[in-house]
Amino acid sequence: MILERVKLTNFRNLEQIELDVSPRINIFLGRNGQGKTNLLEALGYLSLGRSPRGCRDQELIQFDEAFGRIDLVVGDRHGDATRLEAAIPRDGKKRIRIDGQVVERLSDLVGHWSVVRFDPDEVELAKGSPEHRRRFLDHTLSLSSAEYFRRLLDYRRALAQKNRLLKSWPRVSASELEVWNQELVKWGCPLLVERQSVLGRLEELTARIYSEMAPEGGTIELRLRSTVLPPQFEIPADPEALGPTQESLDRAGDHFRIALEDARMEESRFGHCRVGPHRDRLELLLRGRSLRRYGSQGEMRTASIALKLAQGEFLFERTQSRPAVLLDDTFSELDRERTDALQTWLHQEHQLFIATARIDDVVGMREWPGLRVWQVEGGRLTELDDISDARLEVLREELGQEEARG
Amino acid sequence: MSRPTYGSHRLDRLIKLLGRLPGIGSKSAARIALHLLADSDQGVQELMGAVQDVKDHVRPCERCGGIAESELCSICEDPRRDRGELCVVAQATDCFNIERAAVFQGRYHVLGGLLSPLDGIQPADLNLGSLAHRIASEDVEEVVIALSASVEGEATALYIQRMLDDDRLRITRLATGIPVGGHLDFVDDVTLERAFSGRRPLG
Ligand SMILES: [Zn+2]
Repeated sequence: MILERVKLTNFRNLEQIELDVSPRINIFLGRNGQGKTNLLEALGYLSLGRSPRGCRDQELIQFDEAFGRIDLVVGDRHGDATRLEAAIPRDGKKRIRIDGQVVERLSDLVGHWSVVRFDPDEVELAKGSPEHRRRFLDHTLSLSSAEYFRRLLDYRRALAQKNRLLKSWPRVSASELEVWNQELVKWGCPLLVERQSVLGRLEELTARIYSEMAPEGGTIELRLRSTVLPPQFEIPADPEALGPTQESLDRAGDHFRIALEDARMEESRFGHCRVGPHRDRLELLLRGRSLRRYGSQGEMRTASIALKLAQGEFLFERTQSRPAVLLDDTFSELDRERTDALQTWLHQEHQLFIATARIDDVVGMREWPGLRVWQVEGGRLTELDDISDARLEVLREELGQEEARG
Repeated sequence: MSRPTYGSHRLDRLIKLLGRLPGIGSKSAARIALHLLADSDQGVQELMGAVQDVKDHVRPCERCGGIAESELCSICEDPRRDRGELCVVAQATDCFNIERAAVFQGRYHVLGGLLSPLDGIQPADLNLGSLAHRIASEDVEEVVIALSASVEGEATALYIQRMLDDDRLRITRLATGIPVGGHLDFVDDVTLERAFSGRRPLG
């Protein structure tokens, strides 16, 4: 999938933006606070219908405006264009349209526009909490399957309902609680089984990319620690089945019901549901040991990037379509070797959107085909037609940067 | 943040009240208010009269909770309706949609909502006691659960199924065809017909 055109209205500090973008590499250059991060956020929004930074919709609208809009034109691999639109009112519900048709569920968006996003926080993927990585897993699966995303949203809804009910403990009827438990089992089991069944492939991809970025750096492993499924939960491969088999779901269901039963006393005490896919944890191991606990800063950074690149590869395998890659100020945190490794991977057919404050990033990619560069200043974009040495030097001076040494 | 006003607090107030109606945003509310302002006195009187008339004379059916002008609604009063089939819906408007599709000959039971702790709706807030009572006293053979396929619709269906657990009673659920998460409001007649003819037993 290739983004062809983007139009933004009142999106954060971007009042009016209309761009035809390059199918290959797009760089947004500017000092911090000028709007380049906001631009990437807008580009990622229509991937799953929400801010990829996890911000609330109301925060996305320009101050004092009643609504914000994002309009994208995305071409698929057959060259057919799809119009994706989000209209976000300050009060009321957002409306998302695909080719003019209002979508009923956010999961309808899946498959139209996938992005893999790197930003300064995301580089902490390996370092942060295991819940952070579970969300990454959910995100990966949601981008590859509308069904998964739909079930995930339904599961979260059922969970919110149950937790609300637990707040009124002990004035909760057992039969009412039981109904919500059944809903959790119904929507949660496909999540549990689907996560287990893709973990192996995601691990292979991550390990391969990691070893390419850090030869002799050891082997990366992924471990899913579930509050529901036992570690030895096997999922027999069924080439006929597209999703989880009924047999696996039934077995997962038995485990889930028992886990809910066992947690009954505890959850009444804590006032929220203590077991389920929402409590699963994804651990990264390097050389058999917890990366988060024992890894170096550099190893964690490399692992984060490897996970993200593996996500892109996984999506390509599943959907036959390369996600676009959004890089927000990513290179500045990396050393030379890792930057090279990352760039080599990205040099494949991904469409890239890069936000950076560094002239050197432009210099580094100047020879790449299909490069377009915009300067971002005060929420406005100006395309740089001239990226010659002389012009970049002037810009460097304006942005107040020293040339990189070495 | 200051909102634009129309220079008349009376008009602003009308817009605010209209904006509280379901499905009407602040823009539509302003459009309706300005339309009413431009309308003839007679037109506005008619509208206000109709609203008052409905408030005075339309009420929930004492048996099914549907829309009635006397004690019972026209469907409950109709001797030709099949007494063996009872269709459980969330809102009175759902009866209207199913009637329009002319796919069901039985009678209805309106719950008045769906289970949703987040919205403070518990079993006691729904017309569930009267449902159990009707089934015990009205020779009902089949209960057709026609609730949306949303999380709340599913949970409510499950609750009813467990509440009515009885071998002599057939409980069915509308077949797929209702969009997931969809409301019966937005379902066309053909889809509803398919959903009714393909309804399947729960259990
Ligand atoms: Zn009635």
